[in-house]
Amino acid sequence: MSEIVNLKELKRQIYLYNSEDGLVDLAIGLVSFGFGALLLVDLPAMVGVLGLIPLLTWYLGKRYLTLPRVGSIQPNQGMKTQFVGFSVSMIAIGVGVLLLFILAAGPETDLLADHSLALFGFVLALVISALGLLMKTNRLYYYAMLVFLAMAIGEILNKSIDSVDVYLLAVIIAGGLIILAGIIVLIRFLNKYPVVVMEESR
Amino acid sequence: MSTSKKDQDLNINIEINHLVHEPVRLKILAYLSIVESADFVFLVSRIGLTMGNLSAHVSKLVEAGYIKVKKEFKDNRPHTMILLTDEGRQAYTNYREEMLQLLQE
Repeated sequence: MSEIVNLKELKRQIYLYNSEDGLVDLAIGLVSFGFGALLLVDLPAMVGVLGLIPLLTWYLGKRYLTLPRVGSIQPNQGMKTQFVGFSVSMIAIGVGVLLLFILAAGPETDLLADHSLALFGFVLALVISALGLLMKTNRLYYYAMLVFLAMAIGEILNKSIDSVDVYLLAVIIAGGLIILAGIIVLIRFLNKYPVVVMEESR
Repeated sequence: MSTSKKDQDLNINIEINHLVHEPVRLKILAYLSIVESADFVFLVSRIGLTMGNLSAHVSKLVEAGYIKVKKEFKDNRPHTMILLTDEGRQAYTNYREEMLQLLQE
């Protein structure tokens, strides 16, 4: 055990506590992959179910993989305030995007209407980046960039290629890559932290 | 006998709190100072001790009134959370300030 107590490092570990198991990566990847796959096989009604994926991944993963290995903490007031700030920001982004879409319905804003898929990607990228900021996890910024690029490039290519829905394929590939990264992070986490055996009850 | 300037400089007039000074206990207090509370598994995984070893250090800190053990039930299983008391926070803050002062001197 290192005898150096570095408060900054301890704080960093606390912030990384929520993301070092790769569950957030898996949740983002599964939503992206599922969104593209369900629309590609023409099951748009099932897209609503996608909301359950991050919740289930988080709940089951935390309960059966994370908690037996790294235990649990209750965040302090500062962390709770940050979480509230994050939630308020997400609501503000949601309202902002809704307004943009409403405006896009007008005849003078065809640009927004024409690029609504890329705009959707931009909003998703904002949400993922905000998560990265909240969890102090840099790799989430790369995922945000990947999702946005996949949706923007997919939309552009979709206009020139008719045989296949490039937009959905790009979303599926981006989701697949994020899932792969999540699995790698999860495996590293499982190897780093063995299950803690309770030797004695307190 | 008069004390030389050098001796005066070396005269460190700080009483170190040895209960906090011990590295494992210092780490426990440091972790608890940045969260509301943490459980045994969290501290074992972060500090890298056995459960028994950690229990011994936790007991000492509980006896000193620096931390508090809160027992609860989670999913019908007993679950122990540990949190810093005001006294413990004060002791930890004092220790940090004293150490900073000592190193600056």
